[in-house]
Amino acid sequence: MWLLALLVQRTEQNKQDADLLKRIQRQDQQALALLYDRYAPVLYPLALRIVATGEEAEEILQEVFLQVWEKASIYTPDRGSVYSWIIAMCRNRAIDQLRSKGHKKKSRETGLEESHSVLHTATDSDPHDIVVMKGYAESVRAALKTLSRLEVKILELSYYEGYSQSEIAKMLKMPLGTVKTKMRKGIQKLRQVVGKDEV
Amino acid sequence: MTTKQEERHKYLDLCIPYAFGRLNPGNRKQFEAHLASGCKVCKAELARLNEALGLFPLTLKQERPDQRVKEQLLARIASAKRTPGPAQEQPRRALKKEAPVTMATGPVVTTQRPWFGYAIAGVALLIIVALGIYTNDLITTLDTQEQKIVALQTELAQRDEMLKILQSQRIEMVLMNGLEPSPSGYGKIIWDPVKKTAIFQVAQLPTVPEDKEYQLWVIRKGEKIPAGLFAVRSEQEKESYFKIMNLNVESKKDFEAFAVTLEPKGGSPQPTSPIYLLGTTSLN
Repeated sequence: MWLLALLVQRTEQNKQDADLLKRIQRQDQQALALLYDRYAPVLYPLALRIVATGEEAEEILQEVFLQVWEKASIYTPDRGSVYSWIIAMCRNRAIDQLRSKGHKKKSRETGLEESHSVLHTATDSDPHDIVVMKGYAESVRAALKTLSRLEVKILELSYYEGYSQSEIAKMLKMPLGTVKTKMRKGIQKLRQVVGKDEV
Repeated sequence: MTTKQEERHKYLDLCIPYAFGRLNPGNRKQFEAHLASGCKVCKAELARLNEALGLFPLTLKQERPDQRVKEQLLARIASAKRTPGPAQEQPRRALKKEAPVTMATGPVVTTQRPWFGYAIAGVALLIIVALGIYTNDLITTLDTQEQKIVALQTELAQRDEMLKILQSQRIEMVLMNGLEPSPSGYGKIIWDPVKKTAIFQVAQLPTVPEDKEYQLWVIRKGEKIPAGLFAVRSEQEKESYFKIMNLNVESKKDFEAFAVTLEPKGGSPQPTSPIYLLGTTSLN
């Protein structure tokens, strides 16, 4: 029932997002401002997690919404929700920034030693925190806590650091097949939260 | 498996690296062309992946950026809106003005200029096409080389893992024989009961369609416990398929047999098909 309630809430949110995007296509700035207010609290920490400074994260955030403004018409719902489209744009832009400035080398040298995975150290959210998609945030944390530290690390290296599966295999000195399996397991956990996983 | 199914399988495998932005240019181009061709399976898979990955950042502590960021964004949009759009007409006008003056009369000049221009444009186009073909060939070559390197790296890593298992102080082995659905099939499992890693090898098992996988079972006190999945997809894998896997069994004394059945993709909680391979510990 709880998952069903989440899905209903998400469906409603997707509909609202799609409406906002239609208004953005008609050059409605107010709609863009609403979309920004809705998702900036997730996108900003995402960009900040990937790049080095707050200034860069702010710039990425602006670039992402400029892209939404300019490319709202090319969005197609068959590739995912508006939320996942914007998140993917933000993540890709931040990873591009990371690669272009050679930050990757720095994180390769130090990142592996840090095992402060947010998933394993994060405590429950402060009730006063802004929480976009609160139900999902909690269930994603809960689902990913069932993964091993290594499995979470592989997901993080791929998602936040931009490493390929073969690069991760090399770094962690394990077979590529094992990395793929562990990554699939992590993605499967996320899929279960979405509630569409068929496996 | 038909060629078409193999193709589709290949593209499905590209969904994860594509969603992570880690496909090389050649594969990306090919995959995007495949998506553009209207493959609903890959589009749906990609949409599901994007939805799932989109949830990952929700584990980060949420934080609203400074209000100044939003103000700057809206200002940038307002200024972009004011920027006049079509500016491409100007260069064309400049070209007309710079037309060389000749001694010939007006009408002759106007008939010669376009011909010369078309010739230049034609040569330029040929060069661009040739360069495009050359670049495409280079990308394909790089792509092939990269795939070979990854395959070799994987093979090397697997051999290392195999060696580690074989060098273990204590190893156990069970041979498996083919039963009715696949009488010519055979396989073996060699494992390190301490580290619980295993070399799993099978041969002469029929190739399986995309929606099926073989499932390995440990039979303990009559109970069938799932122990892993694998798929024989190509003729090469049919000749011999092996993988390094985690295997949560200790001594051969602790269970009666290994069995392999054919199950829907993702596996089943209990076997739903006849046994293809069976290896009893009492005979090994």
